[in-house]
Amino acid sequence: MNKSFKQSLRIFWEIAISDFKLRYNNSILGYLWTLIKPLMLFGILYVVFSFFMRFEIDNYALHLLVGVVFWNFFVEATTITMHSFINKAALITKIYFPRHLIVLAATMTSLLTLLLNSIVVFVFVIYSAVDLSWAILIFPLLLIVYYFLVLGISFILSILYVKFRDLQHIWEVLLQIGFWLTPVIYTVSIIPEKYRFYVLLNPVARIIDSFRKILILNELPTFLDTAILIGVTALIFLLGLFIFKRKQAYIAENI
Amino acid sequence: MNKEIVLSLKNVTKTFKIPHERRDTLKEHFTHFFRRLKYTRLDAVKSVDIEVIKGEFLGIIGRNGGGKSTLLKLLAGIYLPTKGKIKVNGMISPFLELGVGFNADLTGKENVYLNGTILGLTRGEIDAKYQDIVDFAELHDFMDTKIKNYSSGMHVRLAFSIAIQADADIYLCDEVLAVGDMVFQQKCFDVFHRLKNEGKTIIYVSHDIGSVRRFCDRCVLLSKGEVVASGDPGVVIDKYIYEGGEIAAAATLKDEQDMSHLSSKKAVIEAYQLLDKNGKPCTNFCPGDSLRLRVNYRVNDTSLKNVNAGVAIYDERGNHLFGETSFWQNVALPSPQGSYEFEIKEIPLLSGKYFITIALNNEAISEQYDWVNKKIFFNVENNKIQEGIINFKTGWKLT
Repeated sequence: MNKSFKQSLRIFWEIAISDFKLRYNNSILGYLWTLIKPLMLFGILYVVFSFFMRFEIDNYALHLLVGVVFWNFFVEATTITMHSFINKAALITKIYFPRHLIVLAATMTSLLTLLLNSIVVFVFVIYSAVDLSWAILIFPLLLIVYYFLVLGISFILSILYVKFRDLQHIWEVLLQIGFWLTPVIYTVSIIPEKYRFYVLLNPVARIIDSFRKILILNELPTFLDTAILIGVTALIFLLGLFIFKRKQAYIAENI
Repeated sequence: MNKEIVLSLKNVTKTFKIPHERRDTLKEHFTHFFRRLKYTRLDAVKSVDIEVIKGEFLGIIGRNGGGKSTLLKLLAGIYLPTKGKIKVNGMISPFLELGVGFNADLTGKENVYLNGTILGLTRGEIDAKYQDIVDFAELHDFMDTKIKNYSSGMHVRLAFSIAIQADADIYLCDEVLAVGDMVFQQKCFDVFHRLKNEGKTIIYVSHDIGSVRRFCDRCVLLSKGEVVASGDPGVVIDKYIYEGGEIAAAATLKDEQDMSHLSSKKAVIEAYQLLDKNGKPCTNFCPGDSLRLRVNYRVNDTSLKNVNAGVAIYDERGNHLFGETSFWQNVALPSPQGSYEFEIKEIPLLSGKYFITIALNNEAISEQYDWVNKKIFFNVENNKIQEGIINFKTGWKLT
């Protein structure tokens, strides 16, 4: 490893740690919130959609939990990262270090939350007596693909937000729409055949569907599905990287 | 001597576009999409060429808005130059304005680790230097306190302590001493001496001319983004004091009263002007230089054959430092009009703000014709390293 890479890694790590410390700064329950928040959302949705309105889905609780946990990661990571430059303005205007480290560090706390929540998911999966199959082995691969997708979107959002502060409201609305258009509380199987193609244009929908397949249904996503997913993710990631590289030198003066 | 160039700026320009009406939101961008934004282009730094040699202590001086801080930010890599090339040969430790970029919600200790890392130290190195940092900053009891509860002095002390621990080749210092107290300033000076002896390069921006004079090998004067002088600190500082500033507007003492109603206006002061040693209008002077006050007068009362001119000098607090009249020196102002010059041949003051009163009266000073009370203002800035207020003529020798 060369020296500047090691140096970047150290800076990344320190920023990530301080972000993590600051996240639940001054709160009593602290890190417990990372578990409480998605579980509360899961609880209320479960009550509504299991007792008030019924979906004809086997293992609905598990499908819902996976949907909520993985959707939650998307919401949290993109929202936190979007604000990361503004939150770090004091640092950015005083000292130079590679700017992408801030974005990487900001996504890291959300990734950690996701990993903690994944443990909860696994406990539920095992508790529900679903037989885990070898399909579970591609879980890490899916996680990496998902992370790169979020990273690509975060690059775009964070750099645009420095100049256009309306973005936070626009993004909030888009996330609301996304919540209903993504199979979070329902599954792809209950979507009428003719609409499925359009819903699956959304890479997050594809990812959540794939996670459900390997965790609950014990089946591997098809090769085509996975290829499309990786392709779309790569495209978004590269676009994010491209925009970021072009604009990153002007963050300090626009902040 | 090793003449390795560690820092070179070639024709560096930084232009900021300052929108007249800033649009921060997408809505504004959309609704005003077809109306072009009106920008004011501001060249904060304009065609700057500077080369810094290894081990040099370079001072950058200039009035507010001269481009000093922008230049440092360009050197630190925080801003990208609009035009030109900056070459840096070595590791830079920036220390810009207040704080190295502390996070207000983290404790002092956590900030030391965060900033130390960004400045290029490893965790192990910070562990080893941690005690030194705390000792230097004198913040033993406050390291577990959040930065937001620090005073501005504590803030700067901690920031400076971290910045000097970074093992850099080039140190950028912007107004380091503005906040610290006397004892801390002295410690900073000791550090500058140490760094200088270790052959480190330091770029030092300050309004404190005394410290620039004391430490810098070379000095650059920036005015409106351009380098207007560069070289020996004495020469550059002299230029800064005499040419950099505009003529200060009529600053007056707060308790100054308008005494003109007590004047009979039999003779009036029509104009007055302070001139420096080069004969140019000026309000800033160096100790030991000459100061001339030129006054134009007119005598209204034809019965007066001549008039007595008076002058008095006050310090900022209104203490009467000096008074004299022209008659005492055997000079009478002839009727009906003319001009005279009052000269202080060698300014016997070190630094501070001073006020001059001029008056026209009769020989016995029993009748006041005209009176400009403490309206003429001048500033003395010491370009040498001395303390106090009086410019004694001194000499030292070994015997």
